Amino acid sequence: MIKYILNRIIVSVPVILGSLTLVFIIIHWLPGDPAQMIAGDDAAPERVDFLREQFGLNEPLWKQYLDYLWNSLRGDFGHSFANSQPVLERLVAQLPATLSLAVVSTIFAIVVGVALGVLSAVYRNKALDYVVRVISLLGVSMPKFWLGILLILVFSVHLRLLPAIGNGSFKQLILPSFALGLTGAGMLTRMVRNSVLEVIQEPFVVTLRSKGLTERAVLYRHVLRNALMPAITVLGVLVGEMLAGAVVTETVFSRQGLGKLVVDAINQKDIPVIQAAILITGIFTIIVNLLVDISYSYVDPRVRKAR
Amino acid sequence: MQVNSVTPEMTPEAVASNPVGGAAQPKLRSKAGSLTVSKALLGFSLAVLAFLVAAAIVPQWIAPYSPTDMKTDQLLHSPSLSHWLGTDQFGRDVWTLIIFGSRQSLLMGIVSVLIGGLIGTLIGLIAGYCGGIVDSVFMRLNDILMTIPGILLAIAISVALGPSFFNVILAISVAAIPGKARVIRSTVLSIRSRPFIDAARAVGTSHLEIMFRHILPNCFSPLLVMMTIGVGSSILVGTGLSFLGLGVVQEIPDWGYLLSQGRSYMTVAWWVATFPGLAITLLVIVVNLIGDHLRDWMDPKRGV
Amino acid sequence: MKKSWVKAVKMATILLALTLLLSACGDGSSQATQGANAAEVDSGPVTPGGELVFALGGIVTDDNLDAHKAGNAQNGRVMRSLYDSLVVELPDHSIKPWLATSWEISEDKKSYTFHLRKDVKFHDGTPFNAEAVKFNFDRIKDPATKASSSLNEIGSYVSTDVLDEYTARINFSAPFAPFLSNAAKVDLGFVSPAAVKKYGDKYPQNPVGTGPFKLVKLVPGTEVQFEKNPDYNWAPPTAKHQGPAYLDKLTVKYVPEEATRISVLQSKQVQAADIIPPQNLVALKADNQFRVQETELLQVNFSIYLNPQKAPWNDLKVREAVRAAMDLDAAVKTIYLGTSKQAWSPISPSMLGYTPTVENSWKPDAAKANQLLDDLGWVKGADGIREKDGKKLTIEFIDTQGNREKRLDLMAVLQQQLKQAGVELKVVSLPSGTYSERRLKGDYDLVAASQFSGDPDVLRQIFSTKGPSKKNNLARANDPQLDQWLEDGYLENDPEKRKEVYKKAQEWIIQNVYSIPTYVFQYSLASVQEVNGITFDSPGWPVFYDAWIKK
Repeated sequence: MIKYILNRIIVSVPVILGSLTLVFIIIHWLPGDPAQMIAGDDAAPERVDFLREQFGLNEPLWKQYLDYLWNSLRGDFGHSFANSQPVLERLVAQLPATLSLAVVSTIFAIVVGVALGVLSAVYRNKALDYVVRVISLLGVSMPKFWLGILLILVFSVHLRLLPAIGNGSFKQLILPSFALGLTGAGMLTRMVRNSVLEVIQEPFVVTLRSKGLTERAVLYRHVLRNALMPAITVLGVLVGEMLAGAVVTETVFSRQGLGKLVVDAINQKDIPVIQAAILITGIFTIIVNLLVDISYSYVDPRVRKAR
Repeated sequence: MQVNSVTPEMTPEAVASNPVGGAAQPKLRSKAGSLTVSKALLGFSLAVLAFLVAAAIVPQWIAPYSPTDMKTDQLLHSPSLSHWLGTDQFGRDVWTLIIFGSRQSLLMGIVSVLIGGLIGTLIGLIAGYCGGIVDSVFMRLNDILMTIPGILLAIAISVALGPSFFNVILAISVAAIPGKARVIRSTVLSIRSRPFIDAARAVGTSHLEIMFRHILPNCFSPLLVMMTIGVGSSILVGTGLSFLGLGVVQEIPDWGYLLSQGRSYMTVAWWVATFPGLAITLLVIVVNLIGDHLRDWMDPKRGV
Repeated sequence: MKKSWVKAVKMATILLALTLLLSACGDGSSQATQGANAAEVDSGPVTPGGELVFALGGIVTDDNLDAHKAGNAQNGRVMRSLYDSLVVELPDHSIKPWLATSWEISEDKKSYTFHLRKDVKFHDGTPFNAEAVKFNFDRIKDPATKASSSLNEIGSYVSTDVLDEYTARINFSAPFAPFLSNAAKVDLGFVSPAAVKKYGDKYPQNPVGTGPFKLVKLVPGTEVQFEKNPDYNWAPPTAKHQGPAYLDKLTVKYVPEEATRISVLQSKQVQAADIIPPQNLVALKADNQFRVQETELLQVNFSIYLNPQKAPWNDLKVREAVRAAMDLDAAVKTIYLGTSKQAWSPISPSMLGYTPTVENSWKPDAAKANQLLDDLGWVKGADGIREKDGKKLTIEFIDTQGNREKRLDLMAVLQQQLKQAGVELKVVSLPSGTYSERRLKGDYDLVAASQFSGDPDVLRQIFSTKGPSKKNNLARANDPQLDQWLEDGYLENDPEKRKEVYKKAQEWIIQNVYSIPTYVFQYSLASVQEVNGITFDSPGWPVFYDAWIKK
C-alpha cells in the first residue's frame, strides 16, 4: 500500500509541473498587457513601462517561465499586480471560506444523495421514488445561479428564515451549501439508487435473505456498504468541482472565496494570483483523488488487484 | 456548469471502472408497469426534443412574433393570452424568444459535445490502444488538464478569445475533453484484450484499421451515452459563462443569456428569467432521460 | 405511467406557485404614487448610535482603500467615510474650506497657498499638518506609488513648500484651473504619513485617514467594517452637525449581484443599498418602508463615439444620419423605465459649464437619415442593409464592459432603430486586452463609454489631441479648434470665462457629432425608512457622517 501511495506521489510531480506550465501558457496567451491594464488606457507610456519593469514583464519569456517555476516550487508566489499584496496572503485569506463551503456542500450532497438514493431504491416505483427522481433530475439540471437566486427569494426574502449574504456563521452557509450541493446530491441519488437496485439482486443478498436475515439488516449491513462505493468515487470529482462551482455561488451569495478571486484575477490579468490559485486547486484536486483511490481500493479488493 | 459539468464524465466513467455502480435498474424492468413508465418518459423526452429541434430549424413557423420586435408600450407585461409567457424588458415576446433561442442553445450543446467528444475519443483511442509510453504521456497530459477545473478553463479561454459564439463553444469543448478521453481509454483497454483483436492482428490487419474498424465501433455505446448527457452539461456550462458576463451578445440571444439578463428582474417580473430557466432545465432533464435510456438499452448485461 | 406524470406536474406546479408567490410580493406595491425623497422627510429628533450596514453595488476586486491608488467608483464610495479633503465643493461649484481654513492663489495662477486647521489628527493620533500635505502630494507624483486617477487630478503638480507647520504652498508648472475642485475629491484625500511608512505595501488594506469613520476590519473581497472616529471635530460646512458621526458602526458589504442586493434590502438584512436597477427603483419608491435617494453623478455621460478617422464615419453627413436614425428618448425611456433622462451634452447637466443650448439641437428623424444616406449613394440591399460599392453599412461596436447599467440593452434598442434606416449595428464583445489594443489602433467603428469626473476639464482627455491621451483620445477627434478651447478651459481660472469656453466646446462637439450622448446616469441609494441623513459629496459619493437610524 505504501509503495502504491509513494508511486502515486511520484507520478503526481510531473503532473503538477505540467499543470504549472499549462497555466503559464494560458496566462501569457490571454490578450493584453497587464501593465497597461493596471495603469489604464489613458496612462502615460512612461508609467506603463515603469509598471512593466516592476512586474518583471520585460524579461524574456523563458526566463519568466523558469523564475516562475523555481519560485512556485519554493512557495514564493510573488505580489498581486492589482494591489501589490503578497499573493499567498490574499489566497490564504480566502481559503477558509471556500473550503468550509465546499466541505459543507459535499457533506450535504453525500448525506442527501445516499439517503434519497437508498430510499428511492427501497421504495422503487412508489410515489416517494418518483418524487425523489424528479428532485434529483432538477438538481442536476437547474442552472446554479438561478437556483441560488430562487433560494434567496424564498428563504431569505419571503420566509425570512436565513441570511442571504456573508460568511462567518453556520446560518450563512446553509443557502449557498444547498445551492452548491444540490447538483452533487442529485447525481449521487441517481447513482446510489442504481447500485442499490443492482446489489439487491446479487446472489449473495438473495442468499442472506433466504438465511432469514431481516430486510433491514440486509439493507444496512450489506447493501449499503456496497452502495457507498459510487459515493466514494464521486467524492474526488465532486470536491474539485465544488471549488469551481464556488465561482458562481460565491458571487450570488456575496461570499468571500477563492472562486470569485480567481475570476476577477483572470479578468484583470493579475498573473501571480491566477498562477497561485490554479496551482493550489490543482494540488488539492490531486490530493483528493489520491485519497479517493486509496480508500476505494481499501473498500473494494477487486480494484486493488486490478492495478 | 459548475458541478453539473461532471455529470457526463463521471457517470459513464463509473460504469466503465466500477463493476458495481452504473448499471440499469433490473428490478424496475421486471415489472410490467414500470416498463411503461420509462417508455412514457422516453416518449415525452423524445417529443420535447423533437419540438425543440423543430423550433431550432424553423422557429418562424412556430413562434407567434418576431424575436427582434420590441414593443416599447408592452414592457415587462405578465403572461396573458396574447403573450403566453409575458414580455421582457424590451417588450419582446418571451415565448418567441425561447423558440428562437433554441437554435443557439442546442447548437451550443451539440457542437461542443461533438468537438469535445471527437478530440477526447481520439486521445482515448490512441492512448488505450498504443499503451506503454504513449498511454502514459497522453494520460499525464489528460491529468494535467484535469487539475484545472473545467469552468476555470472555459473562463480562461473565453477571456483569451473574447466571448463570440464559436469561442464559447470551443471553451466548453475543451473543458469536456479530459473526461471523455478517460472513459474511451478504459473502454479501449477492455476491448483490446478480447480475442477478436488478437485474431485480427494475427491475420496482419494494420494498427490503424484495428483501431478504427474494430475498436472504435465498440466504443460507440458509452460514447453515445456520454455525449447525450454531455449536451445538457455543456448547455449548463454555457449558462454559467453567461452569468459571469462571458456570454455571447447576439441579436437573437440563447437561453443562458436570457436567463442571466433576466435574473435581475426576478423580483418584479419573474417570467423574464423563469421561463428561459425552465427551458434550460427541461432540455437538460430530457437529454439526461434519453441518455439514461440509451445506457439501459446498450447495457451489455441485457444482451443487446 | 400516470403516476409519474402526476408527480412531475405536481413538482412543476409547486415551482410555478413559488414564483407566482414571489411575483406577488414584487407587484403588490407598484400602484402607489411617487415615493418620498429622504432629504425632505422630517423624522423627528436625531437618535445617535447603532450600526448601518450598506450593500455596495459594482465589482470590487482589489481590497484597495488607498485614496491615491484606488481609482474606481466603488472604492471611492467606501473611502469617502475614511478620508477628508482640503476643501469641499458645493452643488453650485463654489469651493468652501474643510481641512484648509483659507487659501490664496498666486498672480501667475501656478501656486496655491493653503492655511490648515490646527486641530486635525489622523486615526493613528499623528497630526495633520503642512508636512502631511507635502507628503501626500509628493506621494501621488512618485511613480513608485503607482497612483491611479489621483495622478490626473494633480495635473502639472511640481512640489509643495512647507511655509510653517500649518501653511503649505502647492506649486504647478502651469495654471491648472480644475485643481480646487479636484482637491475636494476623495482621490486627493489625506493618508497618514506615519501609517504609510508603517504598513508599506500593505497600506491599502490598512488605511488611516482623518475622516469621520476609522477602519476596524477589512474582510478581503467581502466587507469593510468602520467605527466612528470619536475625536472627529472638523466636519466641512456642508455637514448638518459637528463632532463625531452619529453612527457607532458602519459596515459596507460588497454585493455585486443585483438580485441579491435588492433582496437583502427588501428583507432588511441591510439598511441601505446602492445602484438600484430601474425596475426596482420604481417599486421601492412606491413602498413607504423604504426611501430612495438619487443624485446625478458628475461625469461624461455614457456616449456613443463613431470613429471619425475611419470611412465612412469620417463623413459628417454619415454621422448625422446615424444620429438622426436613433430615437434616444424612446430608447432611454424603454430601458431605464423613466428613471433616467436623455443626455444632450457630453457632460452631465450639473457639471460646471454645462450648456442647455445643446438640448434639442437634434431630433430623431428617420426621413432625414434615409435622405442623407440615399444622397450619399448608400442603397438598401436585399436584406434591408444599405450597401455602397459592395460594402455594407455596418457599424462594428467594440465593447468590453458588458451589460453594466443596462448599457448593452440600450444599444440593443438602438440596434433595432438603426436597422429601420438600413444600418447594421454589430456588437463585438472583446476581452479588455484586445479591446484596448483595437481602440488604441483605431480599428473599430464605434465605442461607447462614460468617464467619471467632477470637472469639465475631463473633455480634454476625451476630445483633445493635447490631453493626457493625446491622439488616442476616446473620441478620436483631431480638431485644432476644439483642442484650443479645451486648452483655454484648463488654463483659465475665472469660472465665468471657463463656462463660456466650455459652452463653445460642447456645441462644437455636438454639431460635429464627435459624440452622441445617450443618457444621464442617476446614482441611486435606497435605504429602510428608519435611516436618515445620508448625503452626497460633490461628485456624487455617499456621505454617512450625518446619517442616523431612527429608534
